[in-house]
Amino acid sequence: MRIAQLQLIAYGPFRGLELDLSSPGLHVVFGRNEAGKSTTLRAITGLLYGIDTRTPDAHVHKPGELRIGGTLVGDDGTQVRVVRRKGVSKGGPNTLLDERGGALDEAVVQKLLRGVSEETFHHAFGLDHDTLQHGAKALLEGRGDIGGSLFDASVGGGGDARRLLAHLTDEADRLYKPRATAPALNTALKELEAAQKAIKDKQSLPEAYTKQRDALEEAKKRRDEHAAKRAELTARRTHLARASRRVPLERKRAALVALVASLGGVARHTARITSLHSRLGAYDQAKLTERDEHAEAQKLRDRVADAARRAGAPSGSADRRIDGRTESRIQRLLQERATLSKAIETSRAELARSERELARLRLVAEAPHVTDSTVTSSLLRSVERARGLADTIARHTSEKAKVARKRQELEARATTLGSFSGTLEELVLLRLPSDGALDELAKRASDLERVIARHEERLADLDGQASAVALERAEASGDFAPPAASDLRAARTARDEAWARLRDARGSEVSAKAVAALDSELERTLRDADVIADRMIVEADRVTRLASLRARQAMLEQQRLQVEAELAKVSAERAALDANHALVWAPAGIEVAGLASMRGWLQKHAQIVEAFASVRDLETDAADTSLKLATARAELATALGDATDAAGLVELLDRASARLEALEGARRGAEEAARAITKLDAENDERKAGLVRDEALLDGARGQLAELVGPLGVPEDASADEVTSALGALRDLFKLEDLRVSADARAKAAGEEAHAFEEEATRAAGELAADLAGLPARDVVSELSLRAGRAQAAEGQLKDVDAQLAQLGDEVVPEEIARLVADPDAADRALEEIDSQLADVDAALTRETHSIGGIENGITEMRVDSGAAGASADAQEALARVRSNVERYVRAKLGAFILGREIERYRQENQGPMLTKASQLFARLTLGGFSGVRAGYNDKDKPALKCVRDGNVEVDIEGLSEGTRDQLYLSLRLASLLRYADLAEPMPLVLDDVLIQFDDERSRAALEVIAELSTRMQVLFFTHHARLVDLATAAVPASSLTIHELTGPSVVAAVSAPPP
Amino acid sequence: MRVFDVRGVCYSRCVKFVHAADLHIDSPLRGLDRYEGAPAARMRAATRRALENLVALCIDEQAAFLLLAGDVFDGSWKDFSTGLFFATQMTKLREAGVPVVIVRGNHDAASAITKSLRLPDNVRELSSKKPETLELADAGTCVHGQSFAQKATTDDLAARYPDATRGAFNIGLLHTCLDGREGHDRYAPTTLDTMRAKGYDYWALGHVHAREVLSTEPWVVFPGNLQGRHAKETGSKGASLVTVESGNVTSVEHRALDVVRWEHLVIDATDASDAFEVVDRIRESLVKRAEAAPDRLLAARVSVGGTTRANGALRNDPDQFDAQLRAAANDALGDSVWLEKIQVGTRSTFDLAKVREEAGAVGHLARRLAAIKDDPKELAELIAVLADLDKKLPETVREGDGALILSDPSVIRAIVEDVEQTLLPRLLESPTEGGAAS
Repeated sequence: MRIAQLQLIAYGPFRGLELDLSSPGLHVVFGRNEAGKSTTLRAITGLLYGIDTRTPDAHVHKPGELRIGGTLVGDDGTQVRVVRRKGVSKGGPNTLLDERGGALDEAVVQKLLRGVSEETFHHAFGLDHDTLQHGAKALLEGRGDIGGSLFDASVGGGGDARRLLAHLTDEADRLYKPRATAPALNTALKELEAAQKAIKDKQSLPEAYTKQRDALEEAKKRRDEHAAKRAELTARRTHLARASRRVPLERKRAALVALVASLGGVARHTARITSLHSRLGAYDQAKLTERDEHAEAQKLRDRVADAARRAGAPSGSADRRIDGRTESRIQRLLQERATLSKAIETSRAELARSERELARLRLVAEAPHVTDSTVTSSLLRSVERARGLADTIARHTSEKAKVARKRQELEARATTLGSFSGTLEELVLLRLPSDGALDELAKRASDLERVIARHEERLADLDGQASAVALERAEASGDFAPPAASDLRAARTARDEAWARLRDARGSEVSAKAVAALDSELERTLRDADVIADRMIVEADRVTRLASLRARQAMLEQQRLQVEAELAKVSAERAALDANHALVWAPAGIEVAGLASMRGWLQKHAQIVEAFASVRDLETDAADTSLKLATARAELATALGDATDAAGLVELLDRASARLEALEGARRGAEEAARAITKLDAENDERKAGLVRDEALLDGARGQLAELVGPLGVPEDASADEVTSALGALRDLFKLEDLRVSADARAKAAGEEAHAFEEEATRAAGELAADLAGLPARDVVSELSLRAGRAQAAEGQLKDVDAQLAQLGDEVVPEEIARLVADPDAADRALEEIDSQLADVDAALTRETHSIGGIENGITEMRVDSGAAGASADAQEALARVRSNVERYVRAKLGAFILGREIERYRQENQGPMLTKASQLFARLTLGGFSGVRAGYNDKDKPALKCVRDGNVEVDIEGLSEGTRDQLYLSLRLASLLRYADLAEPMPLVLDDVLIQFDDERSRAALEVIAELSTRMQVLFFTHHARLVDLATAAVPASSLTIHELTGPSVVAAVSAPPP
Repeated sequence: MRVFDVRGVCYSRCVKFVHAADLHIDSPLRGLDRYEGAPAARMRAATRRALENLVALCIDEQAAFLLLAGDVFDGSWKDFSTGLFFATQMTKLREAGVPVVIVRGNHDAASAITKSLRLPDNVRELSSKKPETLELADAGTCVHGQSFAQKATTDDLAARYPDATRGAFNIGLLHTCLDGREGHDRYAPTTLDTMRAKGYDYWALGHVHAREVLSTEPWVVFPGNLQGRHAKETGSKGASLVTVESGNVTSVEHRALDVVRWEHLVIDATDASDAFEVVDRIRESLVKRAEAAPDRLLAARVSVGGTTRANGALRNDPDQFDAQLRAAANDALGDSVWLEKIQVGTRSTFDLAKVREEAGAVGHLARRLAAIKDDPKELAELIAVLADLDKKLPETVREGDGALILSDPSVIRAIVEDVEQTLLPRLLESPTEGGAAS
């Protein structure tokens, strides 16, 4: 396929750039930096395969507007004209258009591409300098490996196949090596194995659990047996110990019981005896008391007789005994009598004070001026009215001042008005012309003044024109010297003659100099004739112009006269108008000024009249207010009682207010007094009632007192002290009598008590211990008490023994034990033996408990977590790692295997033809420095490229210079393309500055080779370098070379035509 | 069969029960290859934590009883600690007064643990000899069921279940593959018609790990397993909370109890232009999934597909892509996500068919790759290349989900496809694009 034409309709910076690539041979596309070479390269791909969705070439045109056109020619000569637009996505809808913008089936282009993908087009049919270097470097890295080199040369794109193979091989080795340990997969396999082992190690199998559980149950059973044995031993030991304590106690008890029995009744009646013994002290005391109280009674009898005498009463007269209640009643009545007397006295004094206060208050309440309300109310009314005027007073003063100020202002304005002298009132009354009349006059005057002005302007204009004409005439006039017609004729004759002479001279053999002289002679005569003719024309014009100026001057003068006449007439009319104006003002009798100023005067006058009317209204209001204020003042003076008082309204108002306040104060005082009278009257009534009540109570108290103190021999009106003294004497008497009676009683009681004790002691001796009968009571009781003490101690010991026995339980000590205990030594030996057995059992129990704890711990550990689940998770992680590494290893391994194999197959199929071709090309590109390239073996015995020089010397790739390696790679690439062309229809080959590192000679050789290649496929050689264009021109026959120059987006493509 | 008189049960009250199955306690999470930043420790014991969640659910909801429809244990798992842990959890339910009814599934029948394990008296395992009916009088419910006697139970167990007990709420407890479910062994097969014919109110099934409600009249429910264990057990896992009012099922709610949520993210990289863009898309998708499963760890498998410009970048350096993606996942979700596997299945944007037609070396290679895939001899040759490795791999690598059988031609064919998608772009999309593409 070939590209016959490439058109950047709207692409990158270009609009309408066109490259004609139709001619056969090499096409060199030259573009300096920024000329758009790269854009053009992208346009080629864009045209064939679609514009990249992220194209950098949409910076001038919008993406949707990008268009690349082209004409594509197939091998069979099919020619297709297509336009490519940019689609939304590259694999998206069709982006191919026909010339008219209609959609075109992509298959049209596909057919021409013959299955070459975009990537292959880039890689195999595109070569730039970088790729060339990459490819050459790959040759070096691959140490000339033939398979890789040939494969890479076919793939293009800088030699990736061999690198890829190396990378895959490395990756596979990194992941897995059969006999290594470090690679990832080997490690993962080890980890998996370890984790699986850990599961087995850590898991607790059910059987193990069952075994443990059974062991636990066995151990528990053994522990229970030991525990039972221990319980049995402990019980026997307890029995023995208890029995050893019980038997001595029982013996002691029997002895005590015998002792108690020997004491007979005493033991049973210890309480009675103890009671008797405790009363011994009381018995002794009763004996003493009986004696002492008899003596005391005798002394009291004497003192009673003495007191009866002092109280004036016979001894033993009990009828005069006053009880406590009566005495306290007498005391209360005495107190009451005193209190009431004092209250009555106080009430009476209070009543007298109240009466005095009442008299004073009545005086206040009944004052005469308080009662007269008419005076107050008339004064109040007047004051209120006057107060209602308070604002008016203030306002009135300011208004009066304001009116006066306004009148002064108006008078000043009347003075400045002018044309009039007199009062304001006179000014207002003037007879003045109407506004309408003045307006009419003013309008007329203005019209006339406009006409006058127009006429004056016209006059000035006419004067101007006249002076201009006069000036022109002065200029045009002067001396006339027109040339004569003969002068003209003579000059023309001279001219004709000069021309004849020159013509003759040209025809003859006259010298050049002479001809030149004749030439200048002819020129002079020609000029003279022309000057005369010109002057004649000028003078004729001047005569005509003067005549015209004269006529114009006359016409202007006539117009001027006419205008002056009209001006005079209008000025007269204007003067008449002023006279008329003066007449209109005559009735007013004032000085008349100009029409305009009088119109102003009239307006100002109207304003003064209007203002004056408002001043007059204000003055009337002020007079009314003054009258109202005077009336109020007179009324207030009358109300204050002095109609003649000349004080001002404000002063009167203050005085009236003071008077009203005084009256109000008096009225409030009287009211308060009346209220106090009422209150005092009520209080006095209460006091009097209280007095009557108290007096009645006092009488009652006196009566009762008389009744009570009468029997005491005290007078009714005796004082409180007298009554108290009489009561005291009686109290002393009866107190002594009472003391005597009680002393007698005590003596008798003590005697009886002592006697009773003696009888009881005698009875006890009779009943409890016959051996004591007849002894004095005191001795009997003492002896009985001693015996009872002994019995009680025995009983106490018996109780202790019983308690101890109860503590030991009421068990029956077996016979065998009882026997054993009977011998304390035997009992001790038996206990020792039991203790020894117990120690053995305890040791066994501890052992079993430990064993149980151990088993239970094991089971608990099992219950918590054995760690097997964790190991299982580890195993799963390791398994996942193994699998992912296996997958990656297999991918890398198979990738390397397949790629390596196919590279080798490709070599076998293509080595012969490709190496032959590459060898020839290499010899040409190195200008014969190398005779070719052939297959050999490298140091690893692998097929490798060998370059041949100097007849038959083989050079390895490593031995080549960098430049020569580039040329070797180029040879291989070109050979690969030729091989491709042998097999299929090739695409255009696009070379982009591939030769920039070649020297001129090798560049020239390369260009020759490339030009030859262009007979097999279209070759587009892009370059930045003008030098390469020159080299191409020199190296390639013109018929096989087309040079295109890109000059940047501003200029439409300039395509150099092939040299003719 | 025992006959119960369940008259007099108070139906007016609301009864709740929980139905779970396939606990597979201590069965490890599979396919997780540990990497830096992966939450390995938190993933451990996920099935135990899920069981604890189940017990908590029963207690919180005051469930009348718990039904376990088989496969409490993994068949091959022998560690008795697992059984003791289960017993401990059942004891908790005993303390809370929740009875538990279990039928053994195929795994339990094969399990060494079940044979030796003593469970508390609130747990009742139904007979494996014949169908058994258990009356739960407090709940007015009869549970009919039969345990697997051995792993390979291929009889229709349900067919022999008794008819419904009158006056009770009837539940059929059954471990079954029903009429066959992909990825599940054909055990105790039965049909919906067989089950309907029994007149039960609820069929509590187990064995199938994906939750499925097969019928609502009567209710036939697979609750799914309690905790997803590998990349094929995706989505929310847990138990069904069933509410019965007046003898009628009023709701069957799925309650998520899993602690690790498995998700499979399928990412279309078609419009992506580089690996970063693909990483961003995956990250977004991960964040969405994580938001949908709060308070859980996320175990995600990522499959990237589509014909994309990024194909070369993703395939050329898989290590780098994995690292980028893991870093992005860690960055977005911290240690609450574990990327189980990153599968790159993208295709290059170039036209492979066209490349195969080309005359040059690449065309030659492309044609060969295409030919290998369909040539048994070629595949056998490749298998031979890997034979040494295959011999060294332990049997576990070839078993279960993600089994890798290197002697299987279809496996090798898939790898050749992968190789094709790696090799050709590497040759055609090299970074040093020359000539016409400058």
